[in-house]
Amino acid sequence: MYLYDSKTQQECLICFENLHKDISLVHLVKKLPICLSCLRKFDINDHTILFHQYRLRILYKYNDFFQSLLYQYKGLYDLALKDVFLCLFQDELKERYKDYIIVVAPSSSKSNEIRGFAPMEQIAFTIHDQVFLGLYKKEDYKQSDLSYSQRKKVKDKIGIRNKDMLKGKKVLIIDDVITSSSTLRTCLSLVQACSPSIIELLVLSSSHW
Amino acid sequence: MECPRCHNQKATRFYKVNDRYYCRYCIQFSRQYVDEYDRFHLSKKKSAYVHYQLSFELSHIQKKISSLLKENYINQKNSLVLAVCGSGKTEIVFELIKYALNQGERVCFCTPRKELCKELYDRFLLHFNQVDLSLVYGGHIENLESQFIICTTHQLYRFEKTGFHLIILDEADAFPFYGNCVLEEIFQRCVKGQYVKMSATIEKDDIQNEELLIMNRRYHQHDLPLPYKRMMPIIFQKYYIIYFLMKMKAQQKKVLIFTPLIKDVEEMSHFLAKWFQVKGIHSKSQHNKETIELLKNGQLDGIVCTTILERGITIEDVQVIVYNCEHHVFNARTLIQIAGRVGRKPNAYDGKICFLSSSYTKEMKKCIYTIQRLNRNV
Repeated sequence: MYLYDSKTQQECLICFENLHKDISLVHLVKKLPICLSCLRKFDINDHTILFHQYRLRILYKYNDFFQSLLYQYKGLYDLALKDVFLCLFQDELKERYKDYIIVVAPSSSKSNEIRGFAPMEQIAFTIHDQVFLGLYKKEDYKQSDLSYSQRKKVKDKIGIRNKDMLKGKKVLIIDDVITSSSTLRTCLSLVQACSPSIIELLVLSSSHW
Repeated sequence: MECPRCHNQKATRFYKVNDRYYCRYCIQFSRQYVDEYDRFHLSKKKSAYVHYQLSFELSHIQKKISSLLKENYINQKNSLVLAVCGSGKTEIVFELIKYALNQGERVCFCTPRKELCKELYDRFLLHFNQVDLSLVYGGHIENLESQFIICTTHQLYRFEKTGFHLIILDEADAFPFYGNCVLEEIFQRCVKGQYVKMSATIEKDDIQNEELLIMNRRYHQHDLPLPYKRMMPIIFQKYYIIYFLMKMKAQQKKVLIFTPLIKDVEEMSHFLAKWFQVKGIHSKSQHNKETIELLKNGQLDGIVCTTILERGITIEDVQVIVYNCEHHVFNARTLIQIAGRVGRKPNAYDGKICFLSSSYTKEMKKCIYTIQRLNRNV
């Protein structure tokens, strides 16, 4: 069978080294798709802050390793890496957010067409299937191409569909990187307008916080 | 299932997206679907008449190889040039490039090192007239459609679908190209006509179906300087370097001190700074270009460096000493390149190359033997 199978996977998803080359306690407790040496390259900085009165959890520091990994996933279209980003926290997130709806920050539909997948959506699906895909970009732009002042105008560029699905629900908003926080703030205000019962936020990485 | 690009056959290294499998092993060079076959659009381009001008005359052997390369290309044969360091191998392909460009064909000059690409680009712009030339390396793309491209071997993947009539690969024995089967395959896929590989060190396994051309004399026709070894425990090597530097300083000669690790560069430059004007250069240090300029201008006695300076630099009348030469980074190819820094100019054709080591390694032996053989014209 020519298909990557997470149950029988013996190679690290990132460096292709044997998963059992270095034995670690983490690997004994959890089934992880990456090896110990790649795991060590993540700068884990798991902490929660208050973001406009809502709990925002940040998992990693945005270091060179994370940057290149995210580039391989989003820029080189390596869908297999979707299992890597949350692997350390997966069980805990599944348990904690089992009755939440996950709202993903939108990505450009043009890029998604080329990729063949929407990156954040695929990561969200590794937690569970209750994913809300109603947020969308009104025009195609790349966040990293925008200046700081342009980023402030992001709020006019994101729209929302199927608002009713979030009414009275528990919502978790997720995004990959937080830099100027303009995207996250826009997503938050759009979701707030749908009057859900609880809102929490989860960001994979940040270079400042 | 096999990846058409890197020939990976390992099932776990394929992944499926929208019912199509792609190869993850060579994903760094864009996503390659397993069922995706090349569709080539290589066409000739009409351009103005291209010609070049050199500020000096080619030596007899340079002229001979230059015309042989052109002959091989016309006869659709690939060539492999073994040219010793400092023999002026870049100039010998000028005639071939001019010929191909004037036929309207697409040409690529590639090398594994970015710095070298930049230098080559300046050189070609200086010597060639009316040429449609572009430079491509990581983070820098001019025009991918140009008739003549200078790029790093890592950027060749951008041309897999168009290819070139002629590709010249310089420093074929250098990291990261040498021994990397994915880069080798990408190179082969870009060759839609003939190629010329140039290298200072060639082993039997490197020769495939090419015609081997050897240029074992430097431009100035003198022998290559032969390295000598000084055997001593590592703790004494530092003091020998002081002695070496003192001797060279008295003769107003510049010195390159090669060390195996970045950490060694830091330690050694700090240690030597008590007595001499020295600075360190490694891949993570800044202002490397300026430091080299300082040495060239005589404001420094020496530079402590890693193998980063093994290729592509010419410093007049420089002497070389290698610290901890038994370290595995100093393989025969690297040592030959290091020795190649010495005696490159006609007015300073000789110089000292000293290997400091506590044991006489196979690699050192091979390096010295190869240089001896090249000097004997074998």
